Amino acid sequence: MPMVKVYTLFHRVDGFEEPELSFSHPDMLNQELGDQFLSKLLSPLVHDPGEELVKTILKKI
Amino acid sequence: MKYSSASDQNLVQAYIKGDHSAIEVLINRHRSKVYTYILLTIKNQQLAEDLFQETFIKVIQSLRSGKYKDNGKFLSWVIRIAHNLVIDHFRKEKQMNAISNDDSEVDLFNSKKLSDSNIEELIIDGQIKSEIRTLINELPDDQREVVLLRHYGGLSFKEIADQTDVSINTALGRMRYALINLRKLIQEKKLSLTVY
Repeated sequence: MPMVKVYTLFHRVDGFEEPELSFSHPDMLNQELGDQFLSKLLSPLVHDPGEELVKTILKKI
Repeated sequence: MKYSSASDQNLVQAYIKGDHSAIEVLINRHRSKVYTYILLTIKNQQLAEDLFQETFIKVIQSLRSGKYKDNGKFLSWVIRIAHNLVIDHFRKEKQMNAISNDDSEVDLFNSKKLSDSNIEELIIDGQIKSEIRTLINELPDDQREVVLLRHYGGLSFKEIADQTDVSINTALGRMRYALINLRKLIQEKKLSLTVY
């Protein structure tokens, strides 16, 4: 008797094993563009606490 | 420095095995992202410095006690620790009914790290940063939170959802609205950030 993958259909219909987020989620598809946008926007916004603060931490441990 | 090209994972392992110089490389590698994340969230330089120290002291304690489970995302883990400390701070502040620190723009602009630049660079740098900070600060808190965790911490949306106690779809939705709002604000303010 040939194998019939009926269970796949059932799982898809009733949502069982359906991940919360599928690859077709529109936000996921747009996220790469979103990350690029954020990267361009926020890349100049970097504040360096300086080496002295790091040395202070290392002295405390 | 012998560890300059080592991965975070290798540095963590080296530190756990007893090489103390490895943690210095790790902190220096990520200090700007972690500090900027804290500063943009807390909006006060002195507090940000305190929380920055507290974050890495906690990181070190966790590494020493074997609590860190290495999944190749050291920075995300550090940012999550920083995020929790920031939340704790806001809770304490709320309890104490403390005064807002929103007047710290001068503090940020006069950052001592800019003092080495010449005056013109300092002014331009300060203006650009100030404009971007203004944009970020105009976002609703929940949208700003997702943007900062994503950009500075490199957290996945699953991690952001866990961290902020919402579903993945909510985290994604907040990011979507944040991006829409940022683009809108850039247009409204006619900012020359060349990010379209």
